[in-house]
Amino acid sequence: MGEGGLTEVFLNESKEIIGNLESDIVTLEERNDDQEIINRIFRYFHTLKGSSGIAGFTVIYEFTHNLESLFDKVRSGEMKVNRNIIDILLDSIDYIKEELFGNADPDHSGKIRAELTESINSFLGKNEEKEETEDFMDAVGAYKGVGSNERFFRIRAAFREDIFSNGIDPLMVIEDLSGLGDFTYLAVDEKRIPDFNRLDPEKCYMAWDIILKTQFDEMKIRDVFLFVYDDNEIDIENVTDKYSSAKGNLFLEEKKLGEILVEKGIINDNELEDLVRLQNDKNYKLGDIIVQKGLASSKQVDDALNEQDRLKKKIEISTVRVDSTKLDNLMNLLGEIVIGQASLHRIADEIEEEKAFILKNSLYGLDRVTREFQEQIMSIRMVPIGPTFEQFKRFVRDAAHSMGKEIKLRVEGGDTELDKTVIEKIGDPLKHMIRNALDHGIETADERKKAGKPPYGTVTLKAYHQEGNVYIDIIDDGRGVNLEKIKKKAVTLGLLSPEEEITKEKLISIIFSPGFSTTEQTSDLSGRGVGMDVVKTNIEELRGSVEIRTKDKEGTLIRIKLPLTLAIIEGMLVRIGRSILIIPLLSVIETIQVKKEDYKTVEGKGEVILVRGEYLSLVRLNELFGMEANFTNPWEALIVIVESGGERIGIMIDDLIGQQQIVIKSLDNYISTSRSISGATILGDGKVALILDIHGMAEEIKNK
Amino acid sequence: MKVENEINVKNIREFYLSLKNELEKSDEIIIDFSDTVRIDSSAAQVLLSAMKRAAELDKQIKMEGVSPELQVLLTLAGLSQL
Repeated sequence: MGEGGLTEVFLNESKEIIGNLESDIVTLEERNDDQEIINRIFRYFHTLKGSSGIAGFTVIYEFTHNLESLFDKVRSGEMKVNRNIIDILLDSIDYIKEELFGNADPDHSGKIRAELTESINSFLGKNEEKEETEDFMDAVGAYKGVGSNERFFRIRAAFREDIFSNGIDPLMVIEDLSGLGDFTYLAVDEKRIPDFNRLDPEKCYMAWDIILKTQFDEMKIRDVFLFVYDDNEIDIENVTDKYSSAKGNLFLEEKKLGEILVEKGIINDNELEDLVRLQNDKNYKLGDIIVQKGLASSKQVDDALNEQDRLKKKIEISTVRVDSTKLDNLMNLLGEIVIGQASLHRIADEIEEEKAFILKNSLYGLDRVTREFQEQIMSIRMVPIGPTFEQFKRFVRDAAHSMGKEIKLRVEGGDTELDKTVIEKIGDPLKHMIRNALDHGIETADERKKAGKPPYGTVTLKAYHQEGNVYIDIIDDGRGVNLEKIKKKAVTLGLLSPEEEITKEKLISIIFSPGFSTTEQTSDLSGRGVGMDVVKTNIEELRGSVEIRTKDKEGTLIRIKLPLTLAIIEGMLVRIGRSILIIPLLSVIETIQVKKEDYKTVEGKGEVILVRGEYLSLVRLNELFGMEANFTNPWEALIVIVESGGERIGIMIDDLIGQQQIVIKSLDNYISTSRSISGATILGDGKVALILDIHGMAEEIKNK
Repeated sequence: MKVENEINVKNIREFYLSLKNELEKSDEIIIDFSDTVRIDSSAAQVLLSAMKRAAELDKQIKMEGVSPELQVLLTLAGLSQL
């Protein structure tokens, strides 16, 4: 890993740590004696300090050192958590963020740093003179997780043959080492020791592999090897994160098949040694030799192999970290495979029947694999929404303070998983809506008391899965949306005529109109340029939808509906004239033919069809998109019934072509002015087909 | 065989040779450590190697009179379970 790589790893890690810190610190303000949170915060500061030191960010290193000292006092109970400390901690985090990720003017950030350091020092009761900073290596050694101050080190030490002549006894060194803690694992490499008869007893052959559980840092361990470090093979590795989470002496060590079998008492050590020799000489698989020699049944070997796999998996889970662009590439490539498959299907349709049958059969197999492949990639791309929710804790706290309101943020369903891209893009819209809830929804404490509500308002963020979609609810227990105010504003903006009668739902949906904002004075937070229309567009870009429900004096619920995945959907291919269009299968309810007498034209509603006693709007795609259709009479054509947001519409088509996986390619905005289209895809024959956006279409019809 | 107060690199050759001798003539060797307080790495590796050889010859080496202090060293040298 090059220099740049290290910095990148550090910055990524820091971003994560800072996010966690912010949310934990805000939580700490509420639960100021929660030892678990206190310890966690301390650990974060410590890690930040250590890794900034390693990555060469010395300014941050020194700064976090001070923070750590400050927080150590909290941890030891010497200092009580109060608003002042929380403020300093949060300001410090802002500074660190700016220093690491912002492009602040160095003079300015230097000044902020000096101010913060001064207030930290005044808390610490220190004068200007800085205390001797902790030894750098100490922090580096301790960098990986302090846990309950317990660290694990793996020490591998192999000594020079002539070391005895220097008067050094390696065993004594190991004895010293054992004084630092407990050995949870110890092995002497006997293979290095020659056969007894050829042994030169005055030469040293000793080598150890040890795992040490200790309170001390790496420096202390190094000290033990002080006289032997340079000219012997001494390797000290901090393996705390691999071991500390494991209970007791459970090892996540990768085990060899033989070891597992010996442990299970199926073969003994001597047998194993012979087998390994045989394995090395003849290059056989150990498992095969064991079964052949009748030492164990093949089932026993299989069991052991499974166990080996399990252990391996455990190790992998704790170690794999992949650059997210690689996942994006993988998804794109899979998209290409799906397109390729579609073109093979097409070829199969055109060749002679017998061959087509064979080709199709193998294609179905391939389809199954690709589908599974897609699910696997998807599952890798899925990330819990929890961290996104957590980051709002800080935001809500600061915003509430500045508005002079008391507001609590509750988070539910943080482990609900969403596609990584969705998570990345949902943050801003969510923030905007939370901001609205804080600003417009929640009343001041006085108003709330008068209304018989608890003085503090609650905003709840809730995520959950339902029918192939993910829902995110933003619920506040505030005063509800002021419909009168909206109506007045809409009239002033010319969106509504004063006499017009309008339903509650329609009125609320005006909030999403461009340029709409009801605040008379623009506050710091909401009502600045970006309105709910941007929020709506952002969510629709993710193929989602947003809905508002409100009850006067009781509160407001904003429900965001998002698809599970963005890249590939199941689509229904339909033909109109010579064009092929795609309807997302999730929206399709059924395909029917209507009788002539069930078709009507209703004043103000346009064309409708009667389906099982219910009149549904009829959409002619040829009119909507200005293309040709074979059938102009609804009773000759086919009707696909689709549903969006509880509303059903009938779409007139010429023919059904089939169903297939569709890779969504997004269209640039200037191409797609119609809200009825969400994107395009490439079909098997290389043609482009548009994908219908049922939700957008329903909206467009309503607005007509 | 009885061993001295301390086995280290100074007297290891002696210890090695007598152990080698014992290993050739007896089926079971008992090393009496009751007077021994310390061993060093050289002794440890002789013992490790001898144990392996004994196992190959289907012979046994037993250690007796091991003091708690010595037991610690034997453990650290991989001559006894952790």
